[in-house]
Amino acid sequence: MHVLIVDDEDSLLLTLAANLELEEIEVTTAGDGARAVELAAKQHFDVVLSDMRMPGMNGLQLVGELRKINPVVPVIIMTAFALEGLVEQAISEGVFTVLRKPFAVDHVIAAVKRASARPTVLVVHDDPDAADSIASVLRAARVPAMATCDAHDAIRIAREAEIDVCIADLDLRAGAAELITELHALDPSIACVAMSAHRGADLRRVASQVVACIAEPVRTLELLQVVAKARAAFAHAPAHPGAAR
Amino acid sequence: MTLAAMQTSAPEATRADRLFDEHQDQLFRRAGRIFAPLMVIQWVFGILIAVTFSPYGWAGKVKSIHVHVYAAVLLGAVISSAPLLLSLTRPTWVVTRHVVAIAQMLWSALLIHLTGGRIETHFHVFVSLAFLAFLYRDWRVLVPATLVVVSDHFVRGLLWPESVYGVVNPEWWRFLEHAFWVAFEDAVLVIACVASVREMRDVARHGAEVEGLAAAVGHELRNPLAAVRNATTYISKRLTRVNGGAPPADPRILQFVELADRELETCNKIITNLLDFSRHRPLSVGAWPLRELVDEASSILPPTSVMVVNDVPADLPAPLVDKDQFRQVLVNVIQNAVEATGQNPTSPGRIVISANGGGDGPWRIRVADDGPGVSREIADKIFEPLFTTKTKGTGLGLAIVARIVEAHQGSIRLDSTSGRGTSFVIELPRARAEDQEARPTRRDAKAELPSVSQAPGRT
Repeated sequence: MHVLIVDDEDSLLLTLAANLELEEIEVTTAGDGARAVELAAKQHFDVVLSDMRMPGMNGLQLVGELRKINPVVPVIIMTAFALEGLVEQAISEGVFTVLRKPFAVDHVIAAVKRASARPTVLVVHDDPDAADSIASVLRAARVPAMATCDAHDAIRIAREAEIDVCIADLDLRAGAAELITELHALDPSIACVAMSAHRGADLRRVASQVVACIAEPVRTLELLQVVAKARAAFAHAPAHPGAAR
Repeated sequence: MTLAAMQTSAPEATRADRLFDEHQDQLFRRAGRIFAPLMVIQWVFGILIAVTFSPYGWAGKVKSIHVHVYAAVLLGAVISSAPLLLSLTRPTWVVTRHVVAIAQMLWSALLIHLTGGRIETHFHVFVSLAFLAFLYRDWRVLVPATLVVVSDHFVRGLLWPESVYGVVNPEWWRFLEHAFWVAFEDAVLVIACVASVREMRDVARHGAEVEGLAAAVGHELRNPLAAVRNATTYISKRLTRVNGGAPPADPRILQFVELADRELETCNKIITNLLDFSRHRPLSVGAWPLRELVDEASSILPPTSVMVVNDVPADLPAPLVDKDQFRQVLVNVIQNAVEATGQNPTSPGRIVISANGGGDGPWRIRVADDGPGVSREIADKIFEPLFTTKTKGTGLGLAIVARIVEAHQGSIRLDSTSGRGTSFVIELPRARAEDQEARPTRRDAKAELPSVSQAPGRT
């Protein structure tokens, strides 16, 4: 696996690269966006890790430039800033996830390994049109996604494809809690998100198994934010916090 | 990125405006909570006056209820209903304050009429104006109020003078005399309103400066902290892996690396607190069950000898909260309780988290510890930023709690008796009907495609 790290802080580049190399990941570093684009044009990278605020080209602009070279390369954004417009825009552009500095090294390694597998988001909704439209919104942002209206089909897909996030309708006929339990039995690392047509929907049955709940009709930015958050949440805590007790 | 650049990216002016708006909304909500019951009280009071002052009239041999009683019941209901409804449901709307102001003056008019124009009842006008000014701190509400009271005096003074002045033939300019005193009070109140808004602005500006500094420092520290954290991780991995798990010659090397890691984590927590305090995350609410949230919160806490008991009923209705932010509220409050009981040397300590309500009433969440309790002076300041009684800590934990609870339109208070433990009581408003209603039909539940580019960007 070959990873490109882009950051204007030398000390971060140096230490992060050393840690990834310790995991036998091949690393190339770039001190700014222009250098990163130059490198990406010459060779293939499985994952790009980039800082957001850099002199010259910022992380968001870099994502745009990298997409011109390779539209599907997963980009992980690292930022010291908790909340800002740039991060929000990067999420709209479908970056894989956003990691907050100072991160735990294992957290980055988990995220990089996950991103390199180019996992898919699975959308499960009783209404096939709704499921399709949500998946197509994700795909429009270059987030690989699949849709299904059948819980059995969902399990089959999870078995065959590399699924890392599942967005399940809370009012699923087959039962959202049952589906999530089955998915977790198959792969405990799948991060699940509940989706509901009303804000007041009771999340009791799924509360300890989902990382978030989104309301329908789904807003694009909220959807992408939830997916990015689900991916970061997994890397952060492989065990589901509620299930631990 | 320099500190100066940081500050321009998060302009202090917008922070100050936001803090000011939040403060004002709080005032409006408080005013709503006062005016809503007042509307009911005035109605009951009006009926009582009507019944005692003019209970019955006699038409021939038939005893009948005086028309005043009907007036009090019906007109009173008409006057009170709109401001009552608005104060309860839309306390922050501009129209609410104006409707309340007009209603107060109409109540003055009705009460004056019901008491037969008693001069003492005119005090209601002056008290009401003062009330409006001090609760809303918006001088504009005095305009419709004054117009209503003056025109009422003028019109009724012409048509039915007894009902407003208590005499049959007052001078034609009598309303001007009343208007003069109203204007006099208005002048004083306008000055008071303007001054208190200016004070609120000053407080907001100061708060914004503190927030801006916290954000700038927090962000600037995160980059170096990230690099150091990477470095210590690398060193400890190398030390343990290269030697095949055997400790290096000097055992303190490994020990110190671990210590550095731990202390870095402490630094990170302090910075996170600073940033949580300085930023305002929008809420993303869902009906999250409290019992599970409490479980999650206590699983995040660092290990402790204090017993943490989750006594929240499993079937309690779920309140509408932002999961991450409300979990943080619970973590901070429970953590605070753990630290408080830790100071009690006689017993290991026990914290009980209980909750009730939901449905028709507000939710009430109680985090009770059996620590030494806190004194009155501490209780008054405990939610203020940077206030702490501990030797460690930023004094921001509970300030963050108060802020998040306020963002949920809830309240938090402290119940404490020195020597007998402390309880934090969080109240969340009952669910509004519109939140419980289903969104558009399930078949329409599709993603709205073209919303990315219009998404409001925060910078």
